[in-house]
Amino acid sequence: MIIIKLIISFLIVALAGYIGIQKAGGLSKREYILRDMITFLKNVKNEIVYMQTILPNAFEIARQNVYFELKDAIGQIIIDMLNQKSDYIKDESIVVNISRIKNLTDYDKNVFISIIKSLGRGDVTTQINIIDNGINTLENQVKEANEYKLSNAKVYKKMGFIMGLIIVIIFI
Amino acid sequence: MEEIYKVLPEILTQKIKNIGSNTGISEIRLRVNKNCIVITSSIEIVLEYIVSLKDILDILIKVSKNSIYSIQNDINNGFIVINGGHRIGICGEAVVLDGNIKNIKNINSLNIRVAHQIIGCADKILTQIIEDGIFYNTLIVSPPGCGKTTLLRDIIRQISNGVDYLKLKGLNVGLVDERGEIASVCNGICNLDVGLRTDVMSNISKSKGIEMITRSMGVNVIATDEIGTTDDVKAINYAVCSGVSLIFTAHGNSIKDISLKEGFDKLLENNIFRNLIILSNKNGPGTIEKMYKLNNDDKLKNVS
Repeated sequence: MIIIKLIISFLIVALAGYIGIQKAGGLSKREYILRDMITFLKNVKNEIVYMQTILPNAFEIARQNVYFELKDAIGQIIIDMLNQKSDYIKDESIVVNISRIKNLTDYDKNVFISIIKSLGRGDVTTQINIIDNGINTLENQVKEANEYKLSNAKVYKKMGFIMGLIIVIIFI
Repeated sequence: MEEIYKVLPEILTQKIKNIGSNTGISEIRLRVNKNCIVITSSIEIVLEYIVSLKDILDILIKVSKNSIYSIQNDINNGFIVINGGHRIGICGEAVVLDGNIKNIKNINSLNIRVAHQIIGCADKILTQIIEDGIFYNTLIVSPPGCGKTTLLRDIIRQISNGVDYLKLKGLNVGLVDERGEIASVCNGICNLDVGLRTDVMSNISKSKGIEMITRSMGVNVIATDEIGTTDDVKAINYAVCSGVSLIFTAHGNSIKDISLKEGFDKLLENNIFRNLIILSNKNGPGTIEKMYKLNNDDKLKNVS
């Protein structure tokens, strides 16, 4: 009986600790996705400035250098851009696919959505300005995400284990 | 016409298809807040469709595949060539910086010219401009809308492919297509047949294009449309000195008209062109009004 209780207690603490570690890991992931977005925009800018590549092709080339959920989201946006019969469908696709990305705040998503929606409507200088402003904003978001991660990651991990211990003490 | 329908609004596409004479359509004119006008070979049809500013913008977005910056140079030149070789002329407010057009804003009208080619329209004059298997310098003169570009295109095609019955082997032709009307190059592909051995330089001034092609492409013949400036004449002289043959067109009604243009009188005096063809619209576009040939006395003689 005692052995069973010990095993259950261990499992509860391990599970709670695992949840805490996952939560802390999510903070790192936010930073990686934001950095991916910056990489993506820089590559798109190069394609537009030096090759004047059309947007769907520029997105596809830039997409090859990103990872995580952003790669899949951009892929779906490209498909909808090529199939689109109206601008409305393209804009909807951008909102839906970027909103699905996890581990980002609403503000992170809105910034990226507004950059992507604005591209393609003006001359090269306008595209450069849009992308540069977007990169500056995302770099600030990266700093914020990094600071938040440094200050809270350890807390989340410890809280996980502590909550597990509390549950064990109260119920077992 | 399918490529044009892909870029037009769906309702407008349906109205144009309902006209029923799609093969005869030569132009589709779109002006903001005005009815769409379709021009066929025989009549002008005013559709019950009012074009909006959004329609114009949607067309540009579809043509550029959501990338207006990628067609900015074309917009500044006043026309875009789409798949199929069709040309979309653009009108709006020019934004000028340091004497150059930086942009055209508030685009308010489009003129979609349907590309078409008449294969074989040069057959009747080939016997005059090719003798003993040799092609001789030719100048085609006509007012606008008389078919000189269509005729030029077919001549280029035939001399590039070779003309067996006239013992002319295929020649390397360098085509300077300043406004994209002759070969209708889109994304690097010629949408109209200009022959097997033709190299096309598009979206470049005629004078620069002639010099570049003469220097770098090892061509036998240089061809271009609507020569007229002093820079063009200088470039022609450069090409002549390089030993290439020439086939050009120019605006005018007669030899007297073109001899009034600066530099042209010298070209005619120096007998650069062995053949001179004057076109008109008398019996429809492509009517050969007069044909002149250089005789043994180095004088242009009417042979029509």
